[in-house]
Amino acid sequence: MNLRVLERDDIDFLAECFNNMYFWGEYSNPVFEQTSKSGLMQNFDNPPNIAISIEWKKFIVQKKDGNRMGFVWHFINQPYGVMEIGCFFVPSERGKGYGAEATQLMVDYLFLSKNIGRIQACTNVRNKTAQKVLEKAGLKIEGTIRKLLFVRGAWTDYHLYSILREEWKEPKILTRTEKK
Amino acid sequence: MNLRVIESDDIDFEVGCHNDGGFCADYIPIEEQMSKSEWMKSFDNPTEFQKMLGLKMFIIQKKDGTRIGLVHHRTNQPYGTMEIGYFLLPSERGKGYGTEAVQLMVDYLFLSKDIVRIEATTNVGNKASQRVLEKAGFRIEGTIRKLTLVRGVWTDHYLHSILREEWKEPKILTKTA
Repeated sequence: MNLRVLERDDIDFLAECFNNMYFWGEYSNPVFEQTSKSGLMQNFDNPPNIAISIEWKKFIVQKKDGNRMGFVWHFINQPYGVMEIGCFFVPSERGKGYGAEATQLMVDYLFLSKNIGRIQACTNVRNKTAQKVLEKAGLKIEGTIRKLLFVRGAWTDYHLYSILREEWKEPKILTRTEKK
Repeated sequence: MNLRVIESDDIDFEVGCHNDGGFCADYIPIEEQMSKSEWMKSFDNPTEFQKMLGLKMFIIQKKDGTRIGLVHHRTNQPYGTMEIGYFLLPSERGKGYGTEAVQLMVDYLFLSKDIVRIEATTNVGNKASQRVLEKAGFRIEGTIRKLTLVRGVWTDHYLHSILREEWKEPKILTKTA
């Protein structure tokens, strides 16, 4: 499994995922409006103000053979400037441990490259799988944000998770000597 | 006590609060220091950042027109949650103005906007501010660790919120004033 930054030729895959309403399952809605491929392409070339302000950066999660399985992203919560991560996998690749690995890799990357003290993530309170993923990567629950998002027709509570730099201590995957 | 939206001739007062109040505050970060002309410029031409947050500032004034503090609301991104914040001149603290201003702002927001929650954060050490929110019907949802740099230290904050169904009806902005 590997992470790499999203390229222009990944837009088709992005569209397949973001515009397939069945992919989002029971815990989330399409994060953004449904957008055509050409619209997504335009957003890629000229990001809208909101995407620039939150410094939204998307990565592709791919298998060793190059097959794309999903996305991981990071963005800045404004105005506090807090780093937040999220991920999405196509249904056929869920439940195989890739989420935990991708999250761990992203946490390593962010703490290694950016001068931040915390990384946070939000999960639908009913999404136990995502919570297990975050806990495996060392994130702890800080509280419950009531009615944070409108999901599947109802205002839904989300758990707020975070990991502090001192809890992370050192990289788990991005160690100096690459493990074969 | 009354709230009114900030006008350009309130800038001196606002600058005073930020540049003067900031240095001696125990619980809030010292904000970027800006000259009056810089403030005026951002008042006339909000930055992209300010526009994204939809920051709206209000003056808290006494019946005689004396300005005693500030309240604001803004929309945090990317989740779009409504957050409020407030500041009172040191000499006007502990007199109940904070609670009244928060209650008034909550009434105004729930009456005029289609939102389900209003949130606020407080430095965990700031008991006075927590009491204000509690009196206005907010509950603590959790502790956001190391949220802001206060007096040189990354500091934990409580996340408070009130839901529309907890608010139920206006407390101050009732139909018959």
